[in-house]
Amino acid sequence: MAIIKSIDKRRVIPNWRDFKSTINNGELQCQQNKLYKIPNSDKLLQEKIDDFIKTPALGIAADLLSTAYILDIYENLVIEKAIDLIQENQNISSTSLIDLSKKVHSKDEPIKDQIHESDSLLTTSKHDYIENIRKQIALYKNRLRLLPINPVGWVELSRLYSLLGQPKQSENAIKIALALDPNNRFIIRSAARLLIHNDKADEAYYYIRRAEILKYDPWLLSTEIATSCILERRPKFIKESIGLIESKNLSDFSLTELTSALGTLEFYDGSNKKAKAFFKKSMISPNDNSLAQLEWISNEDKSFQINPNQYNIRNPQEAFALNCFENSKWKQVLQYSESWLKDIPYSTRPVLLGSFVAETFLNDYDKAIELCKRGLIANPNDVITKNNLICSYAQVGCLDEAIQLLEKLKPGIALLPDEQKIVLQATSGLVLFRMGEIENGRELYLTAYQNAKKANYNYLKNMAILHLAKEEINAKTDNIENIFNLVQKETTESPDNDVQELFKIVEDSYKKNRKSD
Amino acid sequence: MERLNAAHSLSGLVLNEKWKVLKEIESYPGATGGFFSVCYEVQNLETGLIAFLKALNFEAFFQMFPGKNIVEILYEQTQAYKYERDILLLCKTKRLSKVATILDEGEAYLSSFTIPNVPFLIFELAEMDVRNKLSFAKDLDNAWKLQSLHDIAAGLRQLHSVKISHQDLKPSNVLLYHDSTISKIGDLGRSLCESIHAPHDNGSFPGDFRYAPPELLYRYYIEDANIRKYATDCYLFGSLIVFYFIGLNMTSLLAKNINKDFKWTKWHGAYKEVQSYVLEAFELAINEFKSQIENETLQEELGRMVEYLCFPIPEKRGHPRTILLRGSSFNLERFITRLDYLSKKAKYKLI
Repeated sequence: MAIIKSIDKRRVIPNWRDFKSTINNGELQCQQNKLYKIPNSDKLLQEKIDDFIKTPALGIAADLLSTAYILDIYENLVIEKAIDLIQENQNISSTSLIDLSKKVHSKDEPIKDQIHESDSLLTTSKHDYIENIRKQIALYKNRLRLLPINPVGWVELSRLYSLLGQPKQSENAIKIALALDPNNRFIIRSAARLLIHNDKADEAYYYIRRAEILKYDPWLLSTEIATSCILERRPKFIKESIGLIESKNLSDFSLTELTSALGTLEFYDGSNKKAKAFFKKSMISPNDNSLAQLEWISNEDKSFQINPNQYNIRNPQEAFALNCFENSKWKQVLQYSESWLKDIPYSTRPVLLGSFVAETFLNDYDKAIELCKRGLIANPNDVITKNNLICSYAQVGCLDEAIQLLEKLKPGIALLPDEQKIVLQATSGLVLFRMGEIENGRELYLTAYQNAKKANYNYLKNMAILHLAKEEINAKTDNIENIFNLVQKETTESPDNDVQELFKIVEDSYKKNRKSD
Repeated sequence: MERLNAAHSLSGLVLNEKWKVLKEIESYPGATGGFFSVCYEVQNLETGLIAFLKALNFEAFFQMFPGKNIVEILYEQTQAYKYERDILLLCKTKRLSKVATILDEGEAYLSSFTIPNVPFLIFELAEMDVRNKLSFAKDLDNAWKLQSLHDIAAGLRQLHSVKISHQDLKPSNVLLYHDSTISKIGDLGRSLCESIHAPHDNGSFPGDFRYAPPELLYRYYIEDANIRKYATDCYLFGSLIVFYFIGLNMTSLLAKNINKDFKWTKWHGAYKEVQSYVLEAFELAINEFKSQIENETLQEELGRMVEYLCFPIPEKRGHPRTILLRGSSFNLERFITRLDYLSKKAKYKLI
């Protein structure tokens, strides 16, 4: 039985992307977003213009161009002439100079990537993907050998290690970055994401709390609120956070995660009215995280309405995937899960969602296997990803692989949380069914069902019985009627749309089976 | 109608009984920032030596600061002149061979003008500033560039040895002499000296923001005056190395490699908050600089020099071995030795 959920409550934990993508997302901008003009800029530029008019030599053209770029003043015909001179003399110009002349010409051309991750995640093979990350690690290690004081480089290295599922190396690197610059938003938010991912929320909280700028930085305040909630503590800076929001000194975008975090806090505290007010503010200028947060909340409580398609933001994959899931648009869910995984490759959530949908609703077992395998690179010990992989293996008849994986999981099962134990019981039932051991398989499925029922895990209970029914029908056993009756009894009241949709599939198979009999 | 100042009327006069003023010229190498001065070509009547005269331009001061109190302007002008003259005389006395010092100085008196006195300084005639000489193709003129940089580093060290920090080292202040075989540092007008009080010594950066190190562009104030002054000189020299080889100074190279959100014209926060991003851009800038030097030895050596000299954290600027020793972290000795070694190797084509 493949399942989707790895978290109960979504919190506004920062998404950790590479430095360049984080900049492009706008999360690192200075709060006050206005231009600063260097004193006497126009006169300083005019001097260089006069120099060039007097002596139009390459060196003077270069000097003029540099000046224009430093001062951020480009509108001048003489500058154009200097650019022409540089471009006409490319044989005696440096590449940097030619580049700069093009840049000044087109003003805001983005910085050329020096290092970038693979553009395509699932279109490259697993081997190539890993090799590419290893190459980047080597590159960063080399860069850091030459300039070990560069904290951003350490964060990038940490992230790359996390993509390969090497938490120790990843944490070491991020701690160096934190030691070099304990007050940097990018570093603290990256560290928080990593440490929470590695179940070290208390350590994450320590680094957030230590930052001198915490009280003034909405992006850190939102992280503090989210981390406190994970630790089941009351956030310490709610008053300051509300003060920042009310000060009206910050842009709506700067406040989007903070208002979203406060909204989430109110929502889980049961104050829907306050939550709605905060979420409304967070949606004035949302980012991927705040949009996904409201989408998540709207799935938990239908009185929170949102249409993520109406927002034009970067990386909306998570919100879109969740929204499509709620609307049973399975193909789109898979598509968005893939791009979500590409964006956040260390996360298990897109892997679980994508593989669940691929296996359960699209019968695309190969895709589910591929997704799980990709997910296991960053999270090699994730039980639920392994569970989903076992299910897909069993579905395509790769029973040896499924059994092997299951055997590896066995020794640790006793230590797992109850929910995961139930899931693995059901999955073991599936494998046994596929091995032809129908009685044993049924017993395990029913044990999972009973355990879930006892512990009040309605979703798991429904899924266990639905999957059992699927297997009974598939194996054309004598027990189909009994199990289908149980399915009807248990699942018709379910609020989960995936349970309802799976019921339809099972019902359809049941009817077909009856006809053929 | 009488003109306000006499600075434009010196042609034909004989000054200090030995300098004949030949003609007014628009500007001259080392006389950039010419708002403050009027330039002339002059000839020594005894030796026939052609030299360059810089006369104070009062009118420019009125243009530069419209609405400013006249008493203040005159005070500032005379102080500025006095400072430059004193500092140049100090350099002359100390025989700083790599600094463009004065040959003579004095004051002309033109009685028919409202302000008849024209203070002047006479300099050795430079052929040009270095911008006219440079081209930036890979590995072109390496031997010459290294020699010239060696001269400038030596000049800077000479200045530092008499407790002067230049503060305005830039390509237009690198003057070439004797068929461009000798390079000297010109224009000490914005320098700071420990023994002579400069009128512009108010704790802020007196130099040219077009070349300023990043911490100044981000409005970061260094409390320690020594670090503030000498770290800036270090940066300006490193930036000059970059300019010699790729035509961009380090500041524009940094600007090119930093995201526009973090550029000094957009960043309103503290320098400390943006420092990590500047460091990242600095690393990219160093790599970009190195990638354009074909010769592997030079690539490594110059890359390292620029990294030490232009490091974005001013307190950590300078040669790491020098930083570990007692004395100034900004001592240029190690760079001079290395540039000397490299220029000789390049000259004999050994690299």
